[in-house]
Amino acid sequence: MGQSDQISVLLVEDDDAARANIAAILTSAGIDVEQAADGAIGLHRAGGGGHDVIILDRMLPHLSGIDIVTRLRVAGVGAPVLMLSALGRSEHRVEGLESGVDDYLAKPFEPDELVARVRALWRRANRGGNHDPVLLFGDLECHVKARTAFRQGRHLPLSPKEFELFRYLMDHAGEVVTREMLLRHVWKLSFDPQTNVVDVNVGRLRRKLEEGFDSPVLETVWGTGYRLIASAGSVLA
Amino acid sequence: MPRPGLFRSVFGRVTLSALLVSLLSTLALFLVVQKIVEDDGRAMLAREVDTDLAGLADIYVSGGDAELKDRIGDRLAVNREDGERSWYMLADANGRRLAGNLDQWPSIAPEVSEARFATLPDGDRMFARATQLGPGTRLVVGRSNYRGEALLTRLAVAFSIAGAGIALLSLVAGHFAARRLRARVGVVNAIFDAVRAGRIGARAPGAGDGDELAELAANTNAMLNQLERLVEAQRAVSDQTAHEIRTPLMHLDTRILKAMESTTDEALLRTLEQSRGEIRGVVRLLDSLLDIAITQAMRGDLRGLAIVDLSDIAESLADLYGASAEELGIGFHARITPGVHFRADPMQMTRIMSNLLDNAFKYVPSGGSVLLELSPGPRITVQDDGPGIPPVDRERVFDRYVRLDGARGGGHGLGLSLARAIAERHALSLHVEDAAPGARFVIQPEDRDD
Repeated sequence: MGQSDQISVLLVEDDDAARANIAAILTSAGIDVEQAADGAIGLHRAGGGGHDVIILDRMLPHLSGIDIVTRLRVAGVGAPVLMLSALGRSEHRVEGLESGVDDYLAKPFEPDELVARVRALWRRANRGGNHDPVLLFGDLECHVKARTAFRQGRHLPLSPKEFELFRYLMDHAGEVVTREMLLRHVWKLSFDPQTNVVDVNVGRLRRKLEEGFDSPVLETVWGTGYRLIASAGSVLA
Repeated sequence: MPRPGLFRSVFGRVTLSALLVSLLSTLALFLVVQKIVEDDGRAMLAREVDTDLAGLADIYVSGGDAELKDRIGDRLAVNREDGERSWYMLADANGRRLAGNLDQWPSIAPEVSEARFATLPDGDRMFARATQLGPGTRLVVGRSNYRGEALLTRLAVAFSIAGAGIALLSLVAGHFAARRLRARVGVVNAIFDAVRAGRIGARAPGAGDGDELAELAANTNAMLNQLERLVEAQRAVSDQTAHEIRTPLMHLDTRILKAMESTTDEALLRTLEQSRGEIRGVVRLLDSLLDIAITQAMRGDLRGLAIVDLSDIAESLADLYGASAEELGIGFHARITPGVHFRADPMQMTRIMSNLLDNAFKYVPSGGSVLLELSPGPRITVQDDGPGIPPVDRERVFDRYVRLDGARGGGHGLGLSLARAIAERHALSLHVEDAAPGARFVIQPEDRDD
């Protein structure tokens, strides 16, 4: 577990249709899924360990998702928790995150978004607290301490916020990063503004990453978010 | 709430009334006692005077003028120890003194044996009776400085001291009783203050006295329990509503996604994608409505608030929206005083500023400009030089579902309603004014509102 790219997920969801659907999404993304239909079973299975990420529905009969998280943490289970909820208002997100949940996703969600969140949690947990001083992906370089960015060895003049954005994308290179993830981690916002501010900011970063180069590196995943891709011609390490 | 003054506090008034009543009743008691003592003293004097006069009249009858003069002289020689003084005057028909210690005949009629108080030349008063002993002889006998007067003085002193004592006692007792009552009523008032300040779980401690104040405390607690249940119920209902609506929408969305996977028909795919967009629209509408309702219900509820750096939030938003402005060809400026702190929900403060910025960006035409200002107070303004808002609509724009013409992009017309609900939750006001040209949205503390 966690050594290869094989991610194993424990899914606790009481709604049968939703559970089958989520399991199908994760399985088709190559993620192992163990299912539990209620909080007690979920807690029992989670206690057994061996899961990279735990996905919990917030409103479960008998034992709420937040109660389960509290008990898991008390029991010493450290696997990151992604909470799914039909209560999507930002108030609930904040409440969920404050109670020890690692990420929060409101229903309904894009399948890609769910997969992106699970992979992001898994990566974060596996990397531990050690950040590489230099992130490399394709022909892109991100020097975390010096706060500088390069492509094909050429320095990219990024503003401080653009650098934050770039760094977050590099942290999740090759994976889909959603608008909500960017808002939360780069701008510390836990809600989605009505206007397309994220798209605009990403658009500016994309121009700096791509202008003067012959291939795109930042692609838009329609309806979901963005993904850094290894530029054509370069070899992935 | 400031403590009311002595005369406005019900306890102060009760204490003062008790004091007044005790003083008045002491005075009344004194007057009654004085009257009794005086009447009694007068009767005693009258008896003494009459006995003396009768004795002297007997002597006159048996011994004549000379004997009477001797006897009067004897009596005057006696120095009474109790301080009571005796007055005599034996006079002829013309009022000339034959014997006695009075120089002048008092205004008492001897023909009818009148008895009354008369004033002596030295200003003292005596009780005297006069009588006609013979055709050319009359006699008056009087007494003054009788013991009763001294007694009355002593009584007056005693009553004054007692009155002062009673007044002091009633003041002290009243003060302590009032303080105890005020403390008990204060506990109930403090509970209301605490609830208003956001500690909705605050309750009055059980007062065991079983009196009216205990009843008041119990009623207060019962009412607050009910209030708390209502707030919880409202939360539960809105959470359930969200859950019950989101879950089927998610299933619907999943089905549409499945349908999209099984077709390559471009037109159908577009339609299905639009349907998914509409589902998101419904969810967003639901969230906004619930956000507004919950925020309005939390008005005055300070739970979960912390001191936040508004300047940080404003800077972060200015950065986020700056790029948008450039893209739209709008000039965007931010004038942010650093270090403006405020007790607030940080997420909601971000929300209120971003809603106002979203709103400005929606209505400002390309080439226009938007200004975000933050100054201590806190005072937050978002100003644009767009078409502005006609005076008739300046209050209406904060109503739900109100969208003015000329907006760029979609929306449910709930952004400003939520902004106002957030402002009110934080005891801030939000209004819009004419920026000539354009509109200026102003957030500032409620009491500074015009």
